Amino acid sequence: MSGTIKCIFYSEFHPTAGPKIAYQVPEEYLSKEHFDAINIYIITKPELQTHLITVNAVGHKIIGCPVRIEDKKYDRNALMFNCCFMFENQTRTARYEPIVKKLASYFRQLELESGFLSDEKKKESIPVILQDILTKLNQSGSCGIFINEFCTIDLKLSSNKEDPKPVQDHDVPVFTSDKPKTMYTNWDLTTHQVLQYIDGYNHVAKIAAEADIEINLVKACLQNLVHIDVITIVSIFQYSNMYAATDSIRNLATDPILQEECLKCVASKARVKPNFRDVFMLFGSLTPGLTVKGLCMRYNPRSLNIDEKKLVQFGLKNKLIRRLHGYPVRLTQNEDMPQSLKKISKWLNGNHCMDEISCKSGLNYKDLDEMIENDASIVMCWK
Amino acid sequence: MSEEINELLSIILVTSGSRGYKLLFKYPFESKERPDKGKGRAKNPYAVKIAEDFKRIKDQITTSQGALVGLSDESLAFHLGVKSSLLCGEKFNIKIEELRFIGFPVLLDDAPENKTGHKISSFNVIFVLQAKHGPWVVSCYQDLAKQLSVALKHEEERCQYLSIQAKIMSTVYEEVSSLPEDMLSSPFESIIQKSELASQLQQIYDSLNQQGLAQLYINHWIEINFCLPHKLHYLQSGFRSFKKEPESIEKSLKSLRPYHGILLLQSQSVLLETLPVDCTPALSRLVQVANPLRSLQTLALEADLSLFQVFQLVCHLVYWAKAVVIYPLCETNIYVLSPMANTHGSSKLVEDFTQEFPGKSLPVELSEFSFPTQLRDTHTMLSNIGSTDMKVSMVVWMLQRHLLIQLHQYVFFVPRVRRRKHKISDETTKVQIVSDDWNIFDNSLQRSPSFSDAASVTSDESVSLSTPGMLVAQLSKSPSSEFTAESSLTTVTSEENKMFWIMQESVFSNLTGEEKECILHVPAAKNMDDLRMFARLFPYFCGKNHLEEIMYFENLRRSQLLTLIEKFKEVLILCTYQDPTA
Repeated sequence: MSGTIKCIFYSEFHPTAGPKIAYQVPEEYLSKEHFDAINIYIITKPELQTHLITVNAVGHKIIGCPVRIEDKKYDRNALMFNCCFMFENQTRTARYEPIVKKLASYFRQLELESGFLSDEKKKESIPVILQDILTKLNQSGSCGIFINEFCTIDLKLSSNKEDPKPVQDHDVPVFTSDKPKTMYTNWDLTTHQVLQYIDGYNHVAKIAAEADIEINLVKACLQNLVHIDVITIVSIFQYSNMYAATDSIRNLATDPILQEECLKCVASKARVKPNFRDVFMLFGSLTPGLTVKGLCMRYNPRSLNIDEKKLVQFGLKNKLIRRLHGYPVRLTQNEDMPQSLKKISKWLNGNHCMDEISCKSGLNYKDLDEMIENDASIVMCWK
Repeated sequence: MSEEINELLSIILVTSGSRGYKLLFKYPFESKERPDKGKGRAKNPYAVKIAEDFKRIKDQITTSQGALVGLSDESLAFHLGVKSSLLCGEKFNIKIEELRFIGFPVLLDDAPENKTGHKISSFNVIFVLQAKHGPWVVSCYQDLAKQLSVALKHEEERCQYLSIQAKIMSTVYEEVSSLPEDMLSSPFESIIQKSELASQLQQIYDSLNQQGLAQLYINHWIEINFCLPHKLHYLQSGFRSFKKEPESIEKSLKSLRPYHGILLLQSQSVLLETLPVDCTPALSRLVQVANPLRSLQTLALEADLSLFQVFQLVCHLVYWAKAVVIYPLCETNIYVLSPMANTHGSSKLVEDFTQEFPGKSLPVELSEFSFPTQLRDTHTMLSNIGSTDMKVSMVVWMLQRHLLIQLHQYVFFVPRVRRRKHKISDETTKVQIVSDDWNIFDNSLQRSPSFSDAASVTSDESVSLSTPGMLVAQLSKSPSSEFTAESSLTTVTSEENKMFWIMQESVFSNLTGEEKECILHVPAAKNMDDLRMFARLFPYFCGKNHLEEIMYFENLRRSQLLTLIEKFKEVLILCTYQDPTA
């Protein structure tokens, strides 16, 4: 689905001939007949100028951003051009859109500064530039093309990922692989500061407190790190937590590389590797209703050379297991309730999980759990 | 739901002809609260025309609450009224910034000359969507646009329906524009009242956005019956958005098996009433016998339909969000609260529940399913038959609303070997072989690329022929019979040798020596029947098939299967999770 750029063409409004393709690499990819059928979307009316337009027609997908520069010096008092990227019909092209727009503004700037597009001689370098962009973007996803001493065309394809979810106070960031080597050199100051406190167990609020950084900054910074795949977000570890296996657990049973990694990660002592059967059994016995504490009492993971904290972390990181969150629901709506509950009553509608309430109210989990347990009008839904 | 902006922003009807492009109708037009200035559409008085800034321009054209801001009617007509024969009769899909215009322009070949002289040469019905919606959603609207265009073209050729309607609309335009300044109103308002086609387009817009359905007759003649599956499913479940993964509908349909059952989402009588008049009698027969306790196989027998046909009908019902596929309700089913379930203390769900089951509270019942619960565990000691029925109907109610998920048990072969990593390369090839084996099964079980095909796959014959166990049984036949011949010659009748033979069978051939040893160390392996049974079921022990599926394919009772797993528990591990295709 994520195909390559098939063709880039530069089209303009010719004072006498009307809309036409001035340059095209590779040549004749878009026939004149097809261009004429869709040229109203390429050399557009003024109201659509500088709007990104994607045309799905005549077997191609064409993205363009028409530009119009008005000036008395041009033949028709305006210069109109559009530099379009062409793809196959089924290609998902959203990630190319910013590039098309950026290229359009580069060309516009070049024309305003040095008449790059109206000077017949300078114009001749366009096909070379287009060819360069096409090859480099398809090969490496980025390009930097030297035009003159004042301008270099820099373009980079962004990844197709969705924006990561906002980070919560009670989330725990964990590195996806071993600590990145570049971590002490390239990051900005905040990230640099935050990275030191990421150990897979500290939650966001704690990191903010320890690093002495405003919590929203920390969240923004972590969200950025999630986006570039340096960290991933897991839930906080407590011995009262419950987990359930997901269907991805069978990857662990069949993928020897994942197994190796798992054994390395969950070992309590660095030198002794646990037996895979024990590890798998522990994962398999994680079920709603059984807390980690219960698991430890039943199987004593330490005697099997398994660190239960690391086990859970590995499972969450690789989505082999999922955390069960408790959602307290208060059944009555009346205001009559014990003083202690008043503080947290607004979170008891079934939309807020225990972690969140605990983090926001500042109560520790045990006290909170007791308060809820002792009140018959509150039921707990685990999901 | 309410905070979400409708995905369909507007419907536009454009024609092009001897008098140029014309935007005949669009809905919704500007609401009355907005200051209307001049004919046609109003410009936002606060909108500043910024020509220089690349970034801010974007805002001009994107929509505010469903209205198209920044494009005049004339310009819409110009860009959407397609004349070129290259583009007509093809899908029309243009994206301008955040708006996507979906249509199906049609060329009218020999439209007769109208009295007024205006001749329509082509027309286009356009749906305006938010551009963020994926290709699947787009293709749904593309289909509807095509259906409408083809129907309109047919009616135009039959009785000039489009020309007549277009005439009505343009007359209204002229009337409105000839009115004095202060009496100006939007021409579209009176168009809706006067033109049948316009009011139908309005209905399509409203019902698509509210219900995800479009049912109408163009010119009382050609039926349009269309649904947006993702929207239907979303509305039906109320909270779970299928938008991100519409393929999940297809995926679950492909994994339909004869042992599955269906759960209707509406009562039988309501469903039967809403079926179109000309629907197949087979469908109503199936709906009549539908019962969440029965498997599709049984339903096929009861409705006197072939299994293949039942599969197709089920796919149809699921697509239209009239039913969900479940594992038939039985006492051993394990249910747990869905992670997506809405547990809010006061929602419409809670009200509905109390109405359906007076005196019961939804959060309380949901909290009982916090932990995996077998259906038989929901009976309390004191409960009489009536309350059991109530429990079951509560479970059904919750399943219909996707509040519960069913968990299945899966078996894994994980022997206690000292070193699981041999050479990685060795290991991967081994896994490949295993997965290749599975491909054979997979191909025969689910080679289906389409809905209808999915049904044919699991027809009786192919299932019985292609189950892994059968293959194993066939393969295991020859070595054991050979063995008896040989043993009678050599008169070595030791159990050890027999075991050796079984261990050489193809299912085990990919295992390492240590793994084989582990199996032989299990006490039950001394028993030939048990070992043979273990070999027969071995292909299922990689977590792909749940117990119910193994029972179905191998024609085993649950107790038999559980006994065998118990006997070989030293090398097996049970895991419980949701069927990923459910």
